[in-house]
Order: sequence, then C-alpha cells, then structure tokens
Amino acid sequence: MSLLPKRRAQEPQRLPAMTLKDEVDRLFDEFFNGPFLAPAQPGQWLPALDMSETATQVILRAELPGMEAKDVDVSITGDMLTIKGEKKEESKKEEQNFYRMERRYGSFQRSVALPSTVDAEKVNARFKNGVLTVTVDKKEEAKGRSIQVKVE
Amino acid sequence: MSEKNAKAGRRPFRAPLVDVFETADGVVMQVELPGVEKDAAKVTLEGDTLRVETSGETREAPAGEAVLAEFVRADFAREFALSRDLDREHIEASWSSGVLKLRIPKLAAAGPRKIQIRTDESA
Repeated sequence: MSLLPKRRAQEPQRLPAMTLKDEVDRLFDEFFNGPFLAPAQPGQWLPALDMSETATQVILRAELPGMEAKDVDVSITGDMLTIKGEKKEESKKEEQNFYRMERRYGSFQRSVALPSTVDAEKVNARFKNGVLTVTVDKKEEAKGRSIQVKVE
Repeated sequence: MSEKNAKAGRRPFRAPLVDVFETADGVVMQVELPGVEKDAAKVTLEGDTLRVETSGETREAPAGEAVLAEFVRADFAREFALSRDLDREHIEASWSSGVLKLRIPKLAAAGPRKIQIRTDESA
C-alpha cells in the first residue's frame, strides 16, 4: 500500500463554453427553428435564403455572414437565379485550439426558381451586415401578374 | 422550444453560431449575427457570464409577398461561461460583415510567488 498521499486531481479548467443544458437547448432550438437545409454531402453548407416579390420586383436575400461581395457570384438564367461562392476561413496566422467550431465554411451553390420573369439587366445587389440583397425588376409584361384579390 | 426563453412580452431568441478558439495570449470568439446592425448588438458581462444579444426588429421581411422564407425572424442571444484565467477587464469587440469578434486576453500569469516567513517575536 502506498504511503504517499494521492495527488489531488487537477481541477479541470473551465472552458469558455456553454453548459450542457444550454447545448441541448441550442440543439433543439436549431432543429425546430433553423432552416431545414440538409447538405448534400457532409462538409457542405447552404446559406439561408429569403425571397419575396412585389408587383414590380423580386427580392432575394441570402445570409452570408463573414463574407465579402467579391466571394459571391449571382447569375440569372431564364427563370432561375443561382447564387454561389466560397466562404473562407480566416487565415490561421495564430496557433489555435478550437473549443467550438459551429460556423460553416466552404463553397456553396443554390439555385432557386424565380416567381416571375425578370429583366436580368435591371438588377441591384448590395451586401450589408453579412446579408446579400438582390433586387430584380420584373419584365414589363410580367409586372401585372401580382393580382389583387378582391373580396366581393 | 425557444418559448421558454421568452420573457413576458419578449420574442423568442435564437442562438447564433459561434467559433471559439484559443490563441497564445487569449481566447477569440466569432459570433455570426447576419443582418444585424452593429448598434443593435449588445455584449454584457455579469460575473463569469458573457452574454451576446441583439435587439430590435433587425430581421424584418422586405416588402412584398414571401416566396421563400428560410430566415429565422428572431433576435439572437447566447451566453458563455468565461474561465477564470481570462482577463475580463480587457475584452475587445469588433464587427465585420455580420460577424462579431471578441478577443479576451488571458490574465498575465502570476508566477510562483515567494512567501515570506515572518518569525513571531513574542517569545
């Protein structure tokens, strides 16, 4: 039997991380409230998109936090709008241990059908606070298509 | 599920995605808050808990009918427990393209301290 006293176990360092309860809460929250976007392969990611239309325009928004306009490409072919690009990780200048890595990176591509015929010449795109907003005018003949439903 | 986070009258919250990593001299956190104006994000420290939250109707839908709605319309909120070796007095926060970056340096390491032994002169 050893006469030496047992060393007290080193107190585990508290990581700057959430408690287990918060983690489970977050998982549930993400599952029920997050966008249901299952990547085709593990490692891919797809940005969340919002699209809405007015009588004269189609507005598309994409959540691209941490990206710059030059990393994104938007193209319109016929009735399809394609958004693609690459979200790059910050250069690893410093020696790093990751405690938590939830942000998604890498290249992505999504194509959506536009609700109406648009004039690809009349497009405006702006990037603000990590959200890309693309506004496209509808073609003249398509502008009347948002029909007001009158109640008799 | 997020209803329990909502206090009376407040809308439910959504947890932002975050990367946390350790560098030689501290901890860096990158919190994704897309669509949020810099002024609408708030970082508070209470004891050991660091809280990041956004407020205000910053993720409203634009005019028109929705065709595709994947954005979650809720404010962001998340809390973190800071470990004791971090310097709470010198937290730096910066903002870029919808990402809040927090740098928390480590406390200067207090090396082994020499403890003086005083003799008791009573005897």
